[in-house]
Amino acid sequence: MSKLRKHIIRDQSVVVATHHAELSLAEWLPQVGAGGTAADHPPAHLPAVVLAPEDDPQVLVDATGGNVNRLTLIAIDFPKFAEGRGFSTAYLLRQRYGYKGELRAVGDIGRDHLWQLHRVGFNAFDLREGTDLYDALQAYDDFPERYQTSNDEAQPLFRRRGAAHV
Amino acid sequence: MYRYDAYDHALVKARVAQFKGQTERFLAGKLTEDQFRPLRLKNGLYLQRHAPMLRIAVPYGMLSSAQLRVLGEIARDYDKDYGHFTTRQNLQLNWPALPKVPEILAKLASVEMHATQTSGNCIRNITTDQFAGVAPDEIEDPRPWAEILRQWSTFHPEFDYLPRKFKIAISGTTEDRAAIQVHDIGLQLLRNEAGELGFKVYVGGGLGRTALLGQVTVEFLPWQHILTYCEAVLRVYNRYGRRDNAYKARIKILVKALGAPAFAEQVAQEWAHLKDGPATLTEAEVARVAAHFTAPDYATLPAVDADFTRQQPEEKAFARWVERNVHAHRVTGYAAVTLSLKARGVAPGDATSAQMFAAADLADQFSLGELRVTHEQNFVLADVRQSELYALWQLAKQHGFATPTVGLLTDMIACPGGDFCSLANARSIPVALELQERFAELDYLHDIGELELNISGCMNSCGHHHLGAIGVLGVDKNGKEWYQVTIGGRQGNAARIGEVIGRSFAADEVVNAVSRLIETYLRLRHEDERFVDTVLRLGLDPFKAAAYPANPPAVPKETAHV
Repeated sequence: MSKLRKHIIRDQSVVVATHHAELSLAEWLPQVGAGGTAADHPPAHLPAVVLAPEDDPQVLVDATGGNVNRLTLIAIDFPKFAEGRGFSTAYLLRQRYGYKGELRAVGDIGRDHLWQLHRVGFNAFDLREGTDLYDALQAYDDFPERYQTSNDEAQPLFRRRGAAHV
Repeated sequence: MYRYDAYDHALVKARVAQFKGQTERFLAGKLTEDQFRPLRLKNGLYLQRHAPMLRIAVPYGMLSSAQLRVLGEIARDYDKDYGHFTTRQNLQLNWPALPKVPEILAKLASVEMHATQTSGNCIRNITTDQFAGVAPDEIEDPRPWAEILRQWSTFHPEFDYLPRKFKIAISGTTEDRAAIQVHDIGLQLLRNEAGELGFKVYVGGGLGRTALLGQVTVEFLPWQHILTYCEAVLRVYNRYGRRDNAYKARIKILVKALGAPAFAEQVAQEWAHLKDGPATLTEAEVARVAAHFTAPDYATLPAVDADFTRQQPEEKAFARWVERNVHAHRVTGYAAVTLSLKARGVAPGDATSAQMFAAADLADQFSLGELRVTHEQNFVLADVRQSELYALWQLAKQHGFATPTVGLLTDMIACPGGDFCSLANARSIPVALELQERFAELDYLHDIGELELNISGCMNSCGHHHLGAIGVLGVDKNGKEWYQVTIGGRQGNAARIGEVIGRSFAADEVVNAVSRLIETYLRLRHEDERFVDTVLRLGLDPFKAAAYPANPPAVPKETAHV
C-alpha cells in the first residue's frame, strides 16, 4: 500500500488526517471475528479496513452481520493510476450496501481522479505525494453536469433535462 | 442529426477546459508521462512515430457539412492538410503539436464535436450502419440509440479505468453492416412477436490476438432496459476482467473463461439490482433524441428517372459507378451514394482538406447537408435524388471520390500501419498501394467480384483482417516485415473469422500470393459465387497449394512483437 499522508481532502476541504485505515482485509477479518461475531465490538468501533482492488465488499457485509455502518472508515487502495476496480467497489458499498461512513481513496491517485472518485461515492482522498491539495479541490467543479446516475446523482440527466438550465 | 442542447455544450466545454489544464500541468512537469498517458488517451491523443496522433470522434459516423468543413480546416491548419478515416468511423490526424491540441478540441467543441474516449481503457465511440435511416431493410433507426448510449457512456465515472478498451456497435437492419458480432457489446434492434422494440445482445466479440464472435446473453431485451443492462455488463467486466495481462484483458476473455451461460447469469444477477431503477429509459427521452433523426421532407419522385435510365447505357463508366457506388434507398426515387476514399495511389481512408471541403459541398448540394463515415473508410451521401446522380458523379470524379470499386478487392480496409503507428509490426499502406496497382484494371476487378480485402499492421487488428475474405496481417520476424494471410472471413449476420493459410510472406511476395489466390478462385468458382463462398465450399487446400511457390525462400523464425 502507498504511503499515508498527513493531510487529506475530506468533504471538499483539506484536513489533517487523524486516523488511517491500516488493516488489510485479511488482517481485519480475524479482528472482527468470523461469521458475524463482529457483535463483540461495540457499535461504530470496528477498526478501519483498507480494501485491495480485488477485494469483494460483500465480505464486509457478511463480517458485520449485514451492517457495514459498524465501520466508520473504509479505505480503498488504488495501487496503480489506471486501476479501476475501486470505482465499482465504492459504488457498491454506497448504493448496494448502504455504507454511510468515511470512504477514502488512497494510492496512486491525484487531482485528475477526484471528480470521478467523488461521483462513485468517495468522500475522502489521500492523494499521492506531491499533489497540491488546494489545487485538487478545484476538481470538484470539473464538470457542471452528469449524464448518468451514480452515487452523487440519483436521476440521470434525461429525467432532469429541461427542469433547469445550466 | 443530433444537435447539442445547453447541457451537452456545457459538458463538452468543461472537458476541453479539463484537458487544457491537464496538458498545462504535464508541460509544466507536474504530471509525469505515466500519469498523463491515460488522460491524453481518453482525449484521443497518442504519441506516435513522428508526432502525436489525435483521433477525433465522429459519433456513429454522422457528420454535417459544417462539421466536415471544420475537420478540413483543422487538418489544414494544425496538420499536413489531410486526415485518415478509420474503421471505427473516426478521423485521425497524424501530425498535430501537443500544445495545440486543447485549441483543436475547443474548435471541435464549437461544432459539437470532440475527441473524448476515442482511446484509452474506456467506452469508445459507438458505431453503426452507414445507411442508418435510409436502408430498405431497416427495422428501426439505430442512431437515436447510439446517441443515447453515447451520452450514457460519456464521462461515466465508474467505467473510465476498465481493464481494456470497450467498443459497442448497433445494427438496426436485418443484415448487419456494423460488425456487431466482433464488438465487446453488439446490439441488434428487433421487434418481438407483440411488435415491441428491443435488442438482441451479444457480448464478448472482438478481433485482436484472440478473435472471437460475440455470444448472445439476451435474446430480447426490451428497449427500456438498455442502459441498465449495459451498466450491469460493464460492472461485471470492470470488477472481474483480467488486469494482469493486456492481451487477455478484453471482455471476450472473461466471457470465454466463464463460459457464456455463466457470464450471462452473473450479468443477470447484477442487472436485477438495477432493472426498473431511475436509469430505465423513458419514452420521453427516446422521443426527444429520435426527433433529431426524423426523416427529411422527401419529394414524391418517380421510381425510375428517365434521364438516369438513358445515361447508364450511354456511358459505361457511369453505369459501372452506379453498379458499385450507388445503393438502394427506402424512399422511391432516392439513392445512397458512396464517395470512395480508395483512389489508386492513395492510402485507404485518407482524405485531403480539399476533399473534405469538396465532400461538404457535395453534401450540401445533393444530400441535405449531411454525410456519413463508413467503417469501410469511405463517405456516404445518404439522400441523393436519382435524377441528380449523373451530376454528382461528374463532380465526384473531379475530387477523386468516384473510384467505382465499392465492395471490390481494391475497396480495401487498411490501418495506417507502420508508416505512422508505433504499435505496428509492419507497414500496411505500401501493401495496399501495391494491391491497388496490381488490380487496377477495372474489367478484371469487376470480374473478380465482391471481395473484402482487409489489412492490419499488427495483431491489434484495426484493419479487421480477420473479417476479410482475404486478410493480410503484418508480423515482425527478426525486425523484417512479413505478412500472414487469412482467407474465408466475412462480416454480417453470418460473420466468420478467417483462417490462416500457412507461413507468412515476405513484403515483396505478399501481393503475388494474393494474385495466386485470386487466380485459383477464378479457376474454381461456380457462376455467381463470391470468393469467400468458394473458399467455404472447397476449403483451404486448393488455395494453400496455389499460394506457395515450389521452392520457398528460407524463413526466419517468427518473433512475438506486439
